[in-house]
This record gives sequence, structure tokens and C-alpha cells, in this order.
Amino acid sequence: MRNRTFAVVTFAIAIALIAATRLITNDYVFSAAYTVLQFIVLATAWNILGGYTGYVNFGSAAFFAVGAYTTVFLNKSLHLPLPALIATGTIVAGLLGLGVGYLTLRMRGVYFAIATLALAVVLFTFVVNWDYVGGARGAYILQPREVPFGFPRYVHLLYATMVLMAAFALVVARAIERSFIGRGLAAIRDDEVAAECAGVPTLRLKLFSATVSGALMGMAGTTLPLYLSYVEPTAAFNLSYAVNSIAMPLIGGMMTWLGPLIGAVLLGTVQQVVQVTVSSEWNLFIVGVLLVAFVTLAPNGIMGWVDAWRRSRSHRP
Amino acid sequence: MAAEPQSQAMSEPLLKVTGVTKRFGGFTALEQVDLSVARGERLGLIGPNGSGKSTLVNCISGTLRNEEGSIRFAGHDLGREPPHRRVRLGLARSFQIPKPFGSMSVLDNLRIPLLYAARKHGKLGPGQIVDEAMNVLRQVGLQDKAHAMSGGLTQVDMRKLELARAVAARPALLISDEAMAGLSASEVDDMLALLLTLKERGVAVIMIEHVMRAVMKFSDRIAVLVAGRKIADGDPQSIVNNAEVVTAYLGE
Repeated sequence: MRNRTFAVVTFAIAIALIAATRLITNDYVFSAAYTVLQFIVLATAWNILGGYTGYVNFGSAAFFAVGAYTTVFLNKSLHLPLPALIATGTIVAGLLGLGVGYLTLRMRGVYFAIATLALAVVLFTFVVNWDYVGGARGAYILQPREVPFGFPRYVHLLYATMVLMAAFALVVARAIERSFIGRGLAAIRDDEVAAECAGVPTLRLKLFSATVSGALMGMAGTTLPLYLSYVEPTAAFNLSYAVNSIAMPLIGGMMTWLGPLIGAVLLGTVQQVVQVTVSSEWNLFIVGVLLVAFVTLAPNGIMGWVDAWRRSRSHRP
Repeated sequence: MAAEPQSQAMSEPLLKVTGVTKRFGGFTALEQVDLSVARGERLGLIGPNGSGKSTLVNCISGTLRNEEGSIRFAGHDLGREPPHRRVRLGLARSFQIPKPFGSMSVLDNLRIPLLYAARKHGKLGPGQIVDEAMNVLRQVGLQDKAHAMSGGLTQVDMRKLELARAVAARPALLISDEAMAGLSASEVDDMLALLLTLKERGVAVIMIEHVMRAVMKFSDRIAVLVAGRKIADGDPQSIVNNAEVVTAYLGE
């Protein structure tokens, strides 16, 4: 499918999803769907740097929180409308991504992963001590009373926004994957020195990948304060964002845009169900068990497993 | 597969390495090495293990930075140029230990240099890229494995792929780093045949090899490195008869 066709189809599905949920009146459905969609964006974004390029980022929560806190800051200082909040948060997180991209000059593998984890801790500490955005106490953000586009409640608007963000993230990820940039990133993942010696401008591509990945993660965080009406550092920097953005692509498959989508829908839904039927404390435990199971049984994720199955069928006479 | 445009200055050799020195801590891997290669010339580079052959290749291709000396290629000072820029200028190399892009098929491995390096010589359409990749694969005898995953190839096929990927970059100078180690006699002949066809297209080749039969058959000229110094440089016959080379390389 051509990129443009894929974009049209994806956004058509997104609009259908938005329209269909207008028939549903239960608010819980929206908040559950919002959470799963948010993970689709995070997993898809993480996969651009982690899956396509091979640089494991443990600091997804930092990018997500940068998006969220950009909203808190701008909402307090300038009272900007929602689209401006989203755009600014995305750009700020993208710049952070660019900075992280420069880390790849000197670090790879475990060292890079630890550096991104450290980045999250540093930013967390910074926000905790920044009084203007609420510090450790957190900050209240009031949802605007008037809801545009005839949505019955503000949470409906946020849900619709998240649907569009997920569609956007998927279109971007797929376009990158299928372009010559995607092939260059795959070459970097497989062997960076060989890639450079085959003419791939590795630094430039890594910076691009880290910037786009960071920007999309930040974009997912920009609506969090409005969604929760209250945001505090432990919520925005929550470990579950970092763990899930790695676990979902790993479970779904890291080679294509479809893997993170499948992983996020599967793991996100399981977590929502567990949260309601068992308890929210069990969430990360479930993620952990699934992660161990997949790493040992299907290291290339669901998509890798499907590919292997398809290949074995096509080779049969 | 055109070489660099002929309009470039012919007075200067294609590659000119002058006084290159490379140290690793207190160890001097290369000391004041001079080397030049003319357009279309075939140079054999020999020396015992640890003599600095691969280090020299790494300095020329840019994966290592030499502390002293200059490297000029096709009229450009390579000084601080990153490796990908050197490939685009027409300086391609293969690796002694094969480095395939393991998650890609053999064909997709060749797409990378065709997309990123050969573009310099005019943009290629998607169909042309596949044609050209298949062309190169036929030359190394990998055409039947074009759609196999490169990570699962045998060592021999990985070496062929390594060379094919360097050829696909459409180089004016190709550095082949021990492409023939561990190959059978007939496979060595296949590889030699491929390298000799490059000559017809005016591609210069530096061949680093321990298989003396191949080096002697292939080279217009041979340079000998011993302990980071070039001790001899001349036509194959004079090298074989050089007493210093015989002592250093073949033993007393």
C-alpha cells in the first residue's frame, strides 16, 4: 500500500472509531480506550529508535513527562489552546530526543540504555524541585468548560485527540520504515560500522530517529494533565510508561509498525481487564510474566512468529 | 558500473597515503607508511599477522583516525571525512570478519550501498536497484540465495556477500580485506575472477591476502608491511626475490 493510501485508510478508521464511541455513554470505556491508545503511541514511538535503529531507550517516561509538563507550564503561563499545547510539547520532547541522539555518538547497547534511564531520573528530580509547575505536590489543570465539536464531555474530546495521535504515529512509523531511511536505520541496527562503510550517514539517521521517537512520545504526554485534571511527577514519570513502551514492541515484534500496535492493544487491554477484575497492583507483574514468556519462547514477538510460520508454509511444495 | 568521472585530475594517483602513523596507546601499529594506488591498478598488500594491514585499511576507509600523515583520494583530502563520505567518493571496502546486515535478505544487503553510496553516480529507480543488485550477486554466484536471510549464510557465502556489498557501492577503489581466507581453491578462483572483472571497468583494487597464489596471480604490484612499516613495494617478482621480505614474511 502506498503511504498516502495507508494514511487515508488509517485516518478513516480513526474517524470511524471516534464516531462509533459517540454511541457509548459509559465513561470508563473512554478512559480505558484512552489508555490503550496512549500506549499505541508510546510503543510505536519507542520502536522507531528501539526497534528500527536498535537503540534501547529506558527513559520513555521522561519524554512522556516532558510533553505533560510542557502542557502544565504553558497552560499556567500562557493559557494556550489544546492544539498549541500538543504542538509545543511535541517539539520540546523532540529536542530532548535530538539531545539523546547525540549520546549515540559515544554509547550503545547497555550503556545507552542506562544513560536514558539516568536522564529520566535527572528530569524527575528537576520537576520535583520546580515549584512553578507544582513541584512534588503536583498541579491542578482545569478542563475547559466548553467542549468544541459538539462532544458531550471533555474526556470525549481527549479520547478523539488520542485516536488521531495514534493514527498519526502509525502513519509516520510506517512511512519511515518503508523509506530508504528505514532501510538505513535497519542497517545501523544490524551493524553500525558496516552501515557507515556502505555509505549510510549513521549519525544523521540516528539523530533523526531519536528526534522523531522522542517527539511522538512527548506528544502522547501532552494531553495527560487535562485527562487527569491533576498531574504530579510520580504519575507523569511512572515506571509503567518506560516498561510498557519496551514490552509492547517486544511482544508484538520490533521489525515493523504492526508489532507495537499488536503489542499495545494486547498488553494494554490485558492490563485494563486485570485492573478492573483483579487489582491495579498486578499490572506490572503481568507485563513481567508476558515479557519473560516472549523473550524465551518468541524472541521476535508475535509478528516474528507469524513471519516464521508464513515462511515455513511457502517453502512447502 | 562506471568508475569516477575521467575528468578528474589524472596527474595525481587515485589514492595517496603519505606518512600515516597510527598508535594504540604506547603501541605503534603504523609508522610513517606511504602508499599510492593509480586508477585501475591492482595492488597486493601482504604482511604477517599483526603487521598493520587491517589498521591501514581502517585508516584509509575512515573507521580509524590516523594521528599523523595525510590520505588523499581522487583529489580530495580525506582528513576528517567520515567513512560514509569516503564510500560516496568511491572508496569501498570489505571486512575481514564478515559484517552482514543479518536481519535482511542477501538482496536487501546490496540495496544499502546502492541506495546510499551509488546514488552519487546518478539516482537509481527501484527497478534499477534490483537489477543492479542481482547483477552483482550473479558475479559472486549468490543469485540463487538473493532472498535468503543473510544472517543464516555459510561463512563462504558471507565472504562473497561482503565483497558483493562493496562492489555494489560502485567504487573507483575497492579494498578487499582477506576475502579469500578459508575458501577452497575453486572458490578462490571465483573470487579472483570477480576482482579481475573490476579491472575491466577501471576499478582499482587493494587486495589484502594470505593466499599467496591469489596475490601473485592478481597483483600488478605488491607492498609488504612488517610491524607497521612498509619494507618493500614493487612488482611481484622482485618482492618474491627480496631477501628482507622472505625473512620477515616466510621465515628464515
